[in-house]
Amino acid sequence: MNNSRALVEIHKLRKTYWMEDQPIEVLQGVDLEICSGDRISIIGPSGSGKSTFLHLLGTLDVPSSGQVLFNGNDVFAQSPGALAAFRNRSIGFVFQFHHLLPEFTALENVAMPVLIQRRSASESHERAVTVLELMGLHHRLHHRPGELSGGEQQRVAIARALVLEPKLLLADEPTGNLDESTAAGIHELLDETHERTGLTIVLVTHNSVLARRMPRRLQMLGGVLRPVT
Amino acid sequence: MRCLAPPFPLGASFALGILVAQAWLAAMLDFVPRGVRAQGTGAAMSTALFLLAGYTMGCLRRQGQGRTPPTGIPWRSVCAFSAVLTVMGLAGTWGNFNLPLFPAHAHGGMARGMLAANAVALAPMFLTAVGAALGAGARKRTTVFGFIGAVTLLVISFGIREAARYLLLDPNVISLVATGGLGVAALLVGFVLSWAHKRLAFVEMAITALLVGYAIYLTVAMGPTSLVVSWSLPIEQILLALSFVPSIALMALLAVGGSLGFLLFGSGRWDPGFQYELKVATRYLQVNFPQPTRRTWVGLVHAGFVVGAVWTSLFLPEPQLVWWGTLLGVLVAWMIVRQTRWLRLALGLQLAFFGSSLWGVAQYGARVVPKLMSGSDTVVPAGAVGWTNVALGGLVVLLYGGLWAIITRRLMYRHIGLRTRTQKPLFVGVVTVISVLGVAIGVMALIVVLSVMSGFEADLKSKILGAHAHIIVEKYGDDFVEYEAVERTVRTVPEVQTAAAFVLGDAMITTDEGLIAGTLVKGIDPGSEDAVVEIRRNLLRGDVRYLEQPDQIPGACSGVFKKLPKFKPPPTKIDTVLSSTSTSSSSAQLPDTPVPVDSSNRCSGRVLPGVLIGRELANQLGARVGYVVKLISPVSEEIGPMGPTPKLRRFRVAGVFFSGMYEYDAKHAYISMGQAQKFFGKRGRASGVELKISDIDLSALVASDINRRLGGQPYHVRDWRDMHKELFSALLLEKIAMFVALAMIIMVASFLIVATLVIIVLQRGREIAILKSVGASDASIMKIFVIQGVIVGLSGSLLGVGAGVAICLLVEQVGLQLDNSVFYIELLPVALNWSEVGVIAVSAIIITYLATIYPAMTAAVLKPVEGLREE
Ligand SMILES: Nc1ncnc2c1ncn2[C@@H]1O[C@H](COP(=O)(O)OP(=O)(O)O)[C@@H](O)[C@H]1O
Ligand SMILES: [Mg+2]
Repeated sequence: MNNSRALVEIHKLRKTYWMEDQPIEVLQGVDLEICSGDRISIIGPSGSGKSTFLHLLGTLDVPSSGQVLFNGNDVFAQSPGALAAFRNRSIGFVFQFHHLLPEFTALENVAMPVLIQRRSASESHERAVTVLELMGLHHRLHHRPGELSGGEQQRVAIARALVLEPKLLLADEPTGNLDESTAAGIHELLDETHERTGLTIVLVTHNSVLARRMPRRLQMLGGVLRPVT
Repeated sequence: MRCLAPPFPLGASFALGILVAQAWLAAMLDFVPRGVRAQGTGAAMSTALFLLAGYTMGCLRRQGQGRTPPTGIPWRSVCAFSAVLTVMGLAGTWGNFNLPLFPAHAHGGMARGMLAANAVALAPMFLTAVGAALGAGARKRTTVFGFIGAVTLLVISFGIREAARYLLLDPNVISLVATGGLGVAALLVGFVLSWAHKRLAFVEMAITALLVGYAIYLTVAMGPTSLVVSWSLPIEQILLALSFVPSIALMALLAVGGSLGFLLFGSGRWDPGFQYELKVATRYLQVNFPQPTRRTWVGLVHAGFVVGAVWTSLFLPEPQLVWWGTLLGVLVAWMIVRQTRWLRLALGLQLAFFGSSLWGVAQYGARVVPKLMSGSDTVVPAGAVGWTNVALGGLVVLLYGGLWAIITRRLMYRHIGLRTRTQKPLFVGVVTVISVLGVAIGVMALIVVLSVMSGFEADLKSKILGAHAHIIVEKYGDDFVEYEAVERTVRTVPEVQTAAAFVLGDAMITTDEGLIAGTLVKGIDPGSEDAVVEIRRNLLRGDVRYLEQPDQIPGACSGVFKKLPKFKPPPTKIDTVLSSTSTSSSSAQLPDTPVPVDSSNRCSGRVLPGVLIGRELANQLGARVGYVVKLISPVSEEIGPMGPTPKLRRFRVAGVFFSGMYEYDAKHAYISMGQAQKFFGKRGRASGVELKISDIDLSALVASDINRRLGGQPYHVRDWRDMHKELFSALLLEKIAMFVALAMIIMVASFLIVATLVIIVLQRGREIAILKSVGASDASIMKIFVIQGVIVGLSGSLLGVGAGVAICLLVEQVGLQLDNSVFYIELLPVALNWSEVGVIAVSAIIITYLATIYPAMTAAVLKPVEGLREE
C-alpha cells in the first residue's frame, strides 16, 4: 500500500435486494479505503456481489445503507444530476461485455463522454483519436463495434473510460470472455496506463493469474471484502 | 377472491367514509337548487373524493412498506373500495331504496349526482386507482408542493384576469386574456415545479391540475352562467366526464412546462444543449428497410430512368433535359459501382439537375393546369393527357429524388468506411413511418375541412352582407320621424358608404290562385341611390324604377287582373312576360328581356304600386313581372267590428331579384317607402336607417362611433355581427366540434408515436444504461427521446400542412362542382386561413410533444444497473 491520501473511503456499505418481499442481503457492511494510485483486484465466487459493489462505487446504484466518500465527500448526498456529472468526470467504467453503442463507430463511442460534457465536436474528436491511438487502434477509428474483434472492442471500451482522464477506473471482469493472450494484452494496457498516469484501478476478475499482478488483492466473501491471504 | 383478502377492511372503511362525507356535503350544500347543475356538481365532488381516497391509500401503502421502494397501486384496497361504493350507489339510484344517509336523493340534486357517480362501477375503481398511483409516487412534500402549485396558479391567473378587467373593456377580450393567462400560468407553474425538484414533478403537477381543474369546474358549474345548463346536458355521466376537461387541459399545459423545466434544468444546471442527443436520436430513428444489394439499386435506377425518360420525352416541352438527366444518372450509377474519385462532382451535377428538372416540371404544370381549368379542349387534346404529364413529371422528380437519397447514403457509408450494417427489426421503421403519416393525415384533414367550412362561412357572410345592412340604426318607440336628419348625421362618419332609411314589416303575400307565403316587406326610397344600389345589382328581371313609376310596369295598364293559368312547376327562368289582354297573343313570344318601357303608353285610371320579390318567392307564387299579388298585413290601424282587421293591398310585380341566399330570395319583398308607410300605418316614420361601410371588420367600432354621434338613447345601433349572432355562433360551434373530432386523428397518431418510442426505449435499455454510466444525466436521456418524438411530430405536421395547403389551393384554383340545387353554391368554397393553419400545426406539435413525455420519461428513469445486467 502506498502512502498517498485516501481517494475513496467506504463505510459499512450494505445492499439488500427485495424479491417478492424476501430480502437478499448481497453486501453486508463493506469497509474499504482506496488510495490514489492504488491498483486493487477483487476476486470471489459468482454471485457474491462483486458487480454490485462496483456499481455502488460508480454510483450506478444506491446502497441500502452505508457511505461512500470520494475525496471526503459523501457521493450519495448529491442530486442525480450532480451524480451524473461525477460519473462523467471522475469514474471510468469497463464492463465484461464491452457495452459499446452498436450504431456508432469506435471514434464516436469514445467521443461520447466528451460530447456529454458539452465540449465541441472538434475537441471530442481530437481527444478520442489521441486515446484510441494510445490503445493501438489508429487503424480502427471508423469501424463499428460489430466490425471489431473482442479484444479490439474491449480496448475501445477502455479508451472510452479513459478519455476524460478519470481518477478511478472500475473494471468488471474486462477479460471475462477473451482468450488468454488477448486478456494478457488488455492487462498490459492497463498497467501501461497506470505507469503513465498513476490511475487508480479497481479490477474484478476470475482469473487468479491476472489478479496476482495487482499489488493489492481483495476477496468478496459473505458480503464483505477481505484481503487475500 | 383475492380482491377481498386482508386489505378489504381498509378499502371498505374508506368507502364508508366517502359515503359519510358525501352525505355531509349534500346536507351542507342543500341550498343549491335541484337540477342537472346540482347533480353535475355532486358527481364532480364524488370523483374528487374518489381521487382523494385513492391518494391516501397510495400514501399509506408507501409508508407501510418500510424500506422497499413503492410498488404501485394497492389493487385489493381499490377493489374493495369500489365494490362497496358501487353496491351502495346502485341501491341508491336504481333500487329506489331510500338510503338513510341520503333522504333527498330521489328528488334529483347533489345527492343523486353523488350516488350516480358511485354507481358507475368503473368510475370509483378507475379514479381510486389513479389516485393511488399518484399517492404511491408521492414523496415527502409532494402534497404540499401540489397545493402550492395550485394556489400559485389560481393567484396568477386571477391576477391576470383582474388586471385585464381593470385595463380592458371588451368582455370577450377579458375572458380571452384570462384563459390565455391561465394557460401561461400553468406552463410557468409546471416549469418551476420541475425546476425546483430537478425532476419531472409529475405527481405535484397532477395534484395542481386536479385541484385547479375542480375549482374551475365547480365554480363554473355552480355559478350563475352555468355551462351545464346552457348546454342542457342530460346525464350525470357526461357531466362526470366533463368535470375532468379542465384538469386534463391544465395537466397537458403543466406537463409541457414541467418537461421543459426538467429538460433544461434537470441535470442540476442550465443546460440547453442537445447536440449529442440529436446525434443519438437521429441514429435511433433511422428507418431500416431490408437492404437490397447494390446491383438491385443500380438496376432499379436504370429502369426508372429509361421508363421516365421515354415517357417524359413524349410529353415534356424540353425532352432533351430528360435525356441529359438520364445520361448523368447512368454516369452516377456507374461511379457508385466503381467508387471513383469524381463522385462528388457528379453528385453536385446531379443535385443541380434535380433542381432544374423540378423547376421545369413546375413550369410545365403551371402551363397545363390553367388550360385544364378553363376547359378549353382546343389546345390540350384531352384533359387526361395533361394530368398524365403532371403525374409523370412527379414520377421523374421522385426518381431523381430517390436516387439522390440513395447516393448520399452510399456516400455517407463510404465516408465512414462502413461495409456492413447491423440489421434492426423492420418494425420500428414501419411504425415510425405510420406515425408520421398519421400525424400528417390528421393535420391535412383538419386544414382541408376547416378551410371548406371557412369557405362556406365566408360565402354566407358575403351573401348576408351583400343583401343586408352592415349596421342598422333604430329608435326605441315608434316615432322615428327624423330619419332624414339621422341619415345626414351618419354620413359624416368617414367609413359609412351608404345610408338609407327603411320601413320594415311582416306580411303575407298571395296570388289570386290562393298561393300564399310569408314575407318580410321592406319599404325603400327608390329615388335614393344608397337604397337601391344593392338591389339593382341583384335584379334578374324588371327594374327598380318601376317602384317609382308603377305605370311603366309591363301590363300596368291592363286594368284587368288576368286570371293566371293553372299553377305549374315554375320554369327556372322567368322567360315570358305576361301579355296584356289589350295586345295580341303574339306578344306572348316576347324575348325574356324586360319589355321596353313605352313612355307614350299612359294609363288612365288606377295604377297598382310595384313590388320587387325574390326569385324563390316568385317561383313559389308562380309570379312574374307584371303579375298582380296581394300583400296582407296582420297589423293595421283599421278597426273593424271584430277588432283590428287585416289590411289588404294589391301590388304588381315590378322585378325579381336573386341574391344567391335562399332565405333572402324566398322571404323578402321591396316596395316603395311611401307605400310601406301607408301599408304598415307608419306615416312619416321609418323603422330604421341601414348603412353599408367600407370595411366590415370595423363594424363594431363604426357602430359605437355612430352611437356616440347620435347621442345614444333613444337610438340603438347594431352591427351585422349583432344581427346575425345565432348564425355565426352556430357556425363557430360547428367548427370547434369539427376541430375536436379531427384532432382525434392526431391523437391516435400520437399514440403511435408513444408506441414507437416505447419500443425503442425497450430495445435500447442497455444503451441507455451505457450512456448513463459515462455520465449522461436523466434529463439528457429524456432529451434523446423527446427529440425523436419531436422529429416525428414535426415532419408529420409539416407534411400535413404541405398536403393540406396544396389540396386547398388546388380546389380553390380548379374548383369542385357542387350540386347547385342542394347547396345553393356552385363551387366548393375554400378559404385558407393562415392563422387557422398555424393553430392546427402548433396544436399538432404540442400533442405529439406531449406524446413523447411518457416514453422519454421511462427512458430517463431507467436504472443503469438494470440495463447493464441484462444480456
Ligand atoms: N436487481 C436485482 N434484484 C435482485 N437480486 C439481484 C439484483 N441484482 C443482483 N442481484 C443478486 O445479487 C447477487 C450478487 O450479484 P452480482 O453483484 O452480479 O455478483 P457477482 O458480480 O459477484 O457475480 C446475486 O445473487 C444476484 O442474483
Ligand atoms: Mg459480476
